[in-house]
Amino acid sequence: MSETIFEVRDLVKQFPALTAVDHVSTTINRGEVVFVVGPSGSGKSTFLRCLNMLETPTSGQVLFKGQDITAKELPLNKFRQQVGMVFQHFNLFPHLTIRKNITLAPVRTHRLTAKEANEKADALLKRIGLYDKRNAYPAQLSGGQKQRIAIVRALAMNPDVLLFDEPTSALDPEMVGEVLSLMKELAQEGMTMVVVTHEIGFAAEVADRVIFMDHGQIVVSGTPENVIKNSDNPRVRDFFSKVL
Amino acid sequence: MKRLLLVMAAVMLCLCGCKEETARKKTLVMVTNATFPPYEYVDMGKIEGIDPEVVRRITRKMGYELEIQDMAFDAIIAAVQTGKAQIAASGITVTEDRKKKVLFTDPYVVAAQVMIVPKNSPVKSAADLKGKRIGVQHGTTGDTYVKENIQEPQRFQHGPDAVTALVSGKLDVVVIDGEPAEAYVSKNPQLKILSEPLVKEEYAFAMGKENKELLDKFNAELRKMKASGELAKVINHYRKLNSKVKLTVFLPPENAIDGKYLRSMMEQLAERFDFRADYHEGGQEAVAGVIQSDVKQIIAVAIPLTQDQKKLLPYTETLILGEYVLVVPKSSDIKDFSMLNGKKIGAVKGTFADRYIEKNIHPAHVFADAAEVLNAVVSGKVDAAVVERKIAEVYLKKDKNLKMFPENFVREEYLFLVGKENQSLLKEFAANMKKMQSSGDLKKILEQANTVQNAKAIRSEVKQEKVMDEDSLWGGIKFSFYNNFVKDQRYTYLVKGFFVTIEITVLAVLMGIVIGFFVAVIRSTADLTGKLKLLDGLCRVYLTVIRGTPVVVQLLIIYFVIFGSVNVDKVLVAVIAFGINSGAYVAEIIRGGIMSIDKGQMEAGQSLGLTYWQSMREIILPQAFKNVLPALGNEFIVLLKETSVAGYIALQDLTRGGDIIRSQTYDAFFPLIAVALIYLTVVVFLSWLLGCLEKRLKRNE
Repeated sequence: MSETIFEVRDLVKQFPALTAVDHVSTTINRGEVVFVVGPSGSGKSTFLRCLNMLETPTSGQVLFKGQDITAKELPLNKFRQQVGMVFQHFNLFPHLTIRKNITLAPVRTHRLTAKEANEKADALLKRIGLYDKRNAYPAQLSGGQKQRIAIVRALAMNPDVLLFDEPTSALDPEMVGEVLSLMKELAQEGMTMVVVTHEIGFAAEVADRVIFMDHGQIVVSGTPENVIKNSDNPRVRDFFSKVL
Repeated sequence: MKRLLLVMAAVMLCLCGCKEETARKKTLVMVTNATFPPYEYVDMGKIEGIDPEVVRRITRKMGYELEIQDMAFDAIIAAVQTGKAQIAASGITVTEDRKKKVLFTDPYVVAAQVMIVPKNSPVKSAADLKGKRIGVQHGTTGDTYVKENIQEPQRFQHGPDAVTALVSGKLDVVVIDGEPAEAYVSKNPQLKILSEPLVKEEYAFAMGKENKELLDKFNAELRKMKASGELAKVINHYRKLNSKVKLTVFLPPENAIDGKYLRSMMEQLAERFDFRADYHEGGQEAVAGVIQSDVKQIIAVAIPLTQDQKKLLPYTETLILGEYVLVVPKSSDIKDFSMLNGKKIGAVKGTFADRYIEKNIHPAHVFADAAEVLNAVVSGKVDAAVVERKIAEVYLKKDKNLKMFPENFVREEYLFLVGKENQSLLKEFAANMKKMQSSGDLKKILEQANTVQNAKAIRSEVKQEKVMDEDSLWGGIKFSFYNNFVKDQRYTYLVKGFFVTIEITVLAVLMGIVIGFFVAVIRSTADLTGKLKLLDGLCRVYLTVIRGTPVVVQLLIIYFVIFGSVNVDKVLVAVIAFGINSGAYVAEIIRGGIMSIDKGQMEAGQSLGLTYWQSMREIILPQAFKNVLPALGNEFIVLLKETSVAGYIALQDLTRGGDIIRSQTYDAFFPLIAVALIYLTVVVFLSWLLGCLEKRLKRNE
């Protein structure tokens, strides 16, 4: 049996006006590629953000490799160094060059020396074919390029798991492909991934498991086959019939 | 402008030239501890006194340049021992201990430690000292002598403190240097100095042991000085200078004629009473500041104060130089002083009444003498006249058509103020003044002052005529330019003022940025994370208070309230005031910048494992700073212009510099335009600089 990366126990996140995550429990194992899908406002993003404590849960626990990260005294930055996050709007640092965007965190957290970080950044940039952009600034890049940089920025920290928060939603349609193919590569290499997305076709192709959320709750969870194609739940069937 | 540049270039050339000159001559370094008048002390920023003067004269004869360095007394012997300096001159007593370390010149003064006792004291000589309460000045020869030969003394930081303790019965005897002792006893009639000194000491200059040759040459010159009586002359000069009461005179800066008149009056008074006079330009605020900050040995003078201001200064004497009354036709509709607005008021040109009316109502119609003024009232040329009471009384006996308001219209009066300790001195001074007034001596002094003043005015008029040879428009402009900037080197007011303004602005900007950054980071952290609530509260109070009160008021509060009892550099006060003020605005600007950065940036930083503060420093602040750069630049430009109120604490900044010229030339155009142009030039330059910086920072977008 493979190692447990995340264990979510009875997670609740309430905002003043609504309950975004409502008693969710699940487990994510090393090497697993989990897609979280569901209608807008179903709490998928909030659930994902709870996994690296960008949102503080109202109640319940999130265990990362057995350690409770909702505990108050935990140094969050140490934990977050092991969990990469890719945002819908990339959130690259506009005042830094591409290479500096990638090396900033590894150097400042003393994971790598400046020299090592530069070498690593160059290797990652070569891999995604953007080595010649290493000294450009984010504003000079296309959306797809930016998102791929954001992914390798997260990878530079050698994380145990990558969280994707709707990584292609802000992209022009012609740019979506390059990002998805990079994600697919990572999945095939065995990277543990939790992906919130509306790309159902992509989910069906890449996911080990699909979680369908609605109204803050997990409605069904299972193989893509079972959830997307063959669910007997009417809400799930209704949703997929609209998006597919 | 060309001329000004030429003059500046000439000054610079001269400065460079002088420097080279010094380098060619050999220089000796003299060390001293300039806190021991009359031997050495700092006066108007220069080290003066017997020691510097004697050494300066001797080394000049020996063909050396002299550089004087001020340091702690403890370090002086070591400085010549190690060769850092060649001569130590600081009223050093020759002792066996010191002889082991350094060479001494011949003694130039033989001084004594004497005993001060109450007149009825049982202490008659040194033999009676044992078991008595002995006061000394800490660290002096007397201190050492009493400790080693009699018993542990009570040590006081200052001589006068010990004497005060003696007067109030807390001590039996004070052992102290002979010279200050004379001064203390002369002010306290119940004290006396015992005729036999406790110990005699010799003052000499010290040199390093390797400088035997220099010492011999020095001694030769010193002996010559002694023989010719030059040494005694120098010593007496400084002793006399230092025993004099210091008269600190404040002259009104905004009215030069008045200022010059008062100055010559005070010069006469100082000579008469054998005071040292020391002149300052400054308003009433400055007088209050000096009295509050320095209560020792000061008489400050010469600006009419309001009743409220007088209340704040209890130790005052008033010198009344004249009483002026209001005279109107019997049929006049003027019923009281408040109805004068809009009326034609006559006064004698250049008198106090003339100046008073101009300042408080509107310019008066001026006439050559009182008779002319009163005639003008009779003939209806003016509606009322303000003349001296005595003259009015005489005149009204002849002319029944006029009437006089019985109460004073205004009194010409000047205040003499002292700190607490000098009340008796002031009383004595006032009594003498009254004697002079009744004997008519004072009147003579005033007349003399007026004559001196008039003579000066005539001289300057003659000079002006020479320049004004062309009666054309161009000639007028040329003259006006000359008169405002070149004459008496008036441009230096602007140059000095400019540097003061720049100094204040630059330092205040730096302070503002530091404060602003801290406050902004605290405030936004509280907003973003809900932490640092207490600090956030303090910052809010700071912002509210600073942004809710005028900067002038803050400046005055810092100068008169916070630093009220401390003698502190005015530039520093201004820097602190403007820095604190600017900090509040900078804080809000930067906070705006921080809040304008997308929330995702902080999230991205933190999700990469950076801490909050790392993300703030590496990600948020650089972007925020770039975004607010134009606003920050604008704030600094505003600050530069705001410093123009520094004149409120009598700082001579650029604006004040222009004001001073204006008050001397009575010409508004050139001084004001020049000041405005200088500000404008700096602002344009700053804007250009900011533009460049912005462009540089924009490159990555």
